[in-house]
Amino acid sequence: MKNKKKILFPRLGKWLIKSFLPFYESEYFLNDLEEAYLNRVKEMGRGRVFIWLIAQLGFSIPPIIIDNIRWSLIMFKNYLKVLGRNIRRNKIYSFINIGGLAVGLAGVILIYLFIDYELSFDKYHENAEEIFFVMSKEEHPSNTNYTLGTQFPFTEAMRTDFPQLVKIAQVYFQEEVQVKVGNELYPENNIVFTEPDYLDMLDYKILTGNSKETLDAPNSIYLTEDLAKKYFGSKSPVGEIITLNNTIDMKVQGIISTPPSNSNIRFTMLGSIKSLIEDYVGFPFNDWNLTTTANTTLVMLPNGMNPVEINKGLVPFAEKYLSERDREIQTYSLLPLLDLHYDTRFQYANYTTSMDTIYTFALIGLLILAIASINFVNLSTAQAVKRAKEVGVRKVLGANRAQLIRQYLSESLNYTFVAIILALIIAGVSIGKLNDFFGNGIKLELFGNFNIIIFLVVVFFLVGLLTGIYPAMVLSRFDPARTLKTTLSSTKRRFISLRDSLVGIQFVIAQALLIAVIVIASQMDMIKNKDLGFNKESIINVSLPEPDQSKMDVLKNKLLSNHNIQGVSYSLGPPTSGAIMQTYCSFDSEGEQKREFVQAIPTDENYLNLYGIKMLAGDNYRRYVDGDTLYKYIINETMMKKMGIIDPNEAIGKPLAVSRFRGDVMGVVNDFHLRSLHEVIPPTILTNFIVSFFRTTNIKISPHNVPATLDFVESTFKDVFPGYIYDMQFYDEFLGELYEAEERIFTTIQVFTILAIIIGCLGLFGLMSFIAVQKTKEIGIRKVLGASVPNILLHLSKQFSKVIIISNLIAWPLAYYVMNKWLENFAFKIEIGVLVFIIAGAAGLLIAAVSIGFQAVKAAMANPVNSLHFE
Amino acid sequence: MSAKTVTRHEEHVLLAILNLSDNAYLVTIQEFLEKNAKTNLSFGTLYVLLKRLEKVNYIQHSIGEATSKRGGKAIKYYALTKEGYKILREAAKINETMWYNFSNISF
Repeated sequence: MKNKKKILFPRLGKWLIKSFLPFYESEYFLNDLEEAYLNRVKEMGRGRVFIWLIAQLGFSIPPIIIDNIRWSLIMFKNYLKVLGRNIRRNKIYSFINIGGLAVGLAGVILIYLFIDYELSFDKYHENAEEIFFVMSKEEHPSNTNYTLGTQFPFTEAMRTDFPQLVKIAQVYFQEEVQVKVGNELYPENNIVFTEPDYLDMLDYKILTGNSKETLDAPNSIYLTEDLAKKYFGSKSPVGEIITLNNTIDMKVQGIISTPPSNSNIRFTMLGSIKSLIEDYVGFPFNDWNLTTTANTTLVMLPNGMNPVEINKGLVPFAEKYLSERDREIQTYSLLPLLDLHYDTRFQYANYTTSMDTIYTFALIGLLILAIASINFVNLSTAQAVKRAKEVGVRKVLGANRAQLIRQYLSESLNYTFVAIILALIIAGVSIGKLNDFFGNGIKLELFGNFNIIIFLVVVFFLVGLLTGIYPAMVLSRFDPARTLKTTLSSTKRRFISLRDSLVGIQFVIAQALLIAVIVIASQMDMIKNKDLGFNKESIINVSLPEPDQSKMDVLKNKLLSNHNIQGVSYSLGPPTSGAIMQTYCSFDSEGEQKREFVQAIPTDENYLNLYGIKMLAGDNYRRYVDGDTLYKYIINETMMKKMGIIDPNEAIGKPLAVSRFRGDVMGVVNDFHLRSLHEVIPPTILTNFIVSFFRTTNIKISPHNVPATLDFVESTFKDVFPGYIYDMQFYDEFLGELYEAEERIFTTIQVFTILAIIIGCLGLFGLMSFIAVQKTKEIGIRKVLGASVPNILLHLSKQFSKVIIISNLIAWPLAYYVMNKWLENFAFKIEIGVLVFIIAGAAGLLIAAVSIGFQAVKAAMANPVNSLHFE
Repeated sequence: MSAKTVTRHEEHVLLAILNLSDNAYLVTIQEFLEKNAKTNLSFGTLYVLLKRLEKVNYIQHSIGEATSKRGGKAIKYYALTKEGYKILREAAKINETMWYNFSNISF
């Protein structure tokens, strides 16, 4: 009989009841249920009684659970009440405790959200792990170049040679495009031309319109919702015609979902690759010698295939298609889509976050958490003395140590809970500001996904238990006989107590962070104010839609007729813009034929003058006349040194061939910056004959009456180039944007760092005020015995001064090492001088002095009469 | 829950305990209620109700001796406290006054 019962009892029900009732209660309950069950077996029969039992359990468990929750809520209310009482009793400590922890946690939450967001890039594609870009590595004697670009015919060739690939798509990415709808012109960003496979690999859906197969036909395009609305309002865009760059007509096939902001492959429009014509892209399609970063190849491997297999196959592949020269330097391999966002070699779609940045944020988050937690531990142990009596009474009344530990742990958990709630409020309020500040489409949401809940729970227990365990151990250790009999003075002094070392850790962190902030600030300052080797003031850049010599002349003459316009020059781009050609040049050096990888800037003869680039020797070139076959080059100093020449005058007239164009050196200019200060200045050659590559009109204006001048430039442009969008930018603003993303990251880091320092100060302030209160009597006696105020100040701050000095000594080499590593990212960097340490040390001391001083002075100045009859 | 009044369910439970005197535990109380009050409470509901009544001190429990009846497993018995009797008496009085005129009304 008994055995049968056990089998029949549904295990889940039994387990639930056992877990929601106290042990003995559940025994009685189950026994009663069993009895009733047995009573019914006879009258109802086995089958029906089993159903009865299930029903009993089904109806029993909910009320028991509800009852349970009700009681735990009542207990929780009680906890909160006790907590509230504690807070009211010790306002300052509680404020510092909870406030510091809350602010710190808010910072940690925001940092977590940022990291979570950064790590989520492109993970949402179902096949993300199997998708790869083809990357190519070019090894040159002086540097190695990585690019995601592939030659135009690359994808087709790969499709035939690698039948094992599941999907493959050619992707042509264009950052800026001019769209004509009816008679309206719109400048747009990020258009992608590709093939149907693209939509099979990536999780972008066609919302309405024709199926993705239309991407196989020429002149098909899908618009994202926003664009469709902008162009056609609420009516269906399907079948409408839009014109890109006044060159190709595209038929809208439907609406496609907008890629989320946490994607590195974003687009506003998706066109078919077959729409592209050579006139539109500006280079011949069937050229294996030409690699452009705009054209990439995206592939999807079969599930579980190792990309190395494809990489191996790409070696003979390269040999088959590449020219002899390229074969030597170029190798292909696959780059996982998931790595793209973190790979600073590519800067694809202009939004990259290096893992270093992410680690830095994580580190700062951890440090903030550490500082706030240390505050908590210090203040709790400091208060322990105050609560010694309470502990004594509890112990006398029969509380054992485990119970006391549990009580204090639950207290610190409660504090943490309140702090987390406050932190969520603070984070919620500031998150909008942070998003605005980051721009770039970053959208952090407080409860964007479930991870934050897990994170908060982990933080809750981690902080709550870690900060609670030490005070709980200390408190519960008190001997009741001693605490009740005497007023407990602080425990024995060791050379360095745990509290001191915790304060020390805080100071090491604060000090190191302070140094980091100073170094970052001065480096960024240096970057912004460094002499770039050219003039950047009062210059505007207007895009040049077509490099048509006669139109360029007309525009230039018309512009120069205005006396506020001081110069006009055409070029591929302004000096530091990345708008440069990369090519080879060959020259003779010491009787030997040498080749060098160089940057070439197509410019006209007014460029040097307009930008104030200094000529070291030789002459500026004259205007290039079509048909000239003797090419003239202007080289920079670095190039000159590469040629083995030291005296600029000697370089003049030396023969030089850029690509296949033979010519000679006409002049030597000062080194000026071509890229951000992360990079060294490369060997550079200015040429005047590649007029077809001119894309920019550089205009120098006088600082007087700028708005009128700008209006004049605009109307003149529209006269000469009707049907094109007028796109103007001030050059100094453009330069500013070069470091904008970086600056934003560093500003954020600085803000969080300062936050960490402030929290640390708060803790020190609280601790000091507590010690001062504790030493009230001692100070009183000292004063009565003749100690002066400075004496007492010295005495009070002696303990901390020791800690501060030791922690400075630890922090300095640490910060020096880390910041030097960071500075290695820059080709042009500041030196970390002694001054930085002096400033940081002084600031640290000052901070400590302020946070300690207030309370110390108050204690030292107090009238001994008052302090001695205290207690 | 006010300590002064009891709900109808609670009143029934208290009455069941009163009637069962020495033999009031979950099984018997449930059977009694089913038979006399035509209410079919689940064990869980009943358990929570009893717990609440015990909390406001209308009933108390005792653990019975282990008997051979249930294979040596002890039983948790419930009994009324003084307050329990009092509240029942009050309830009876209220009922009496409330029902007083019922017999005089005809439908």
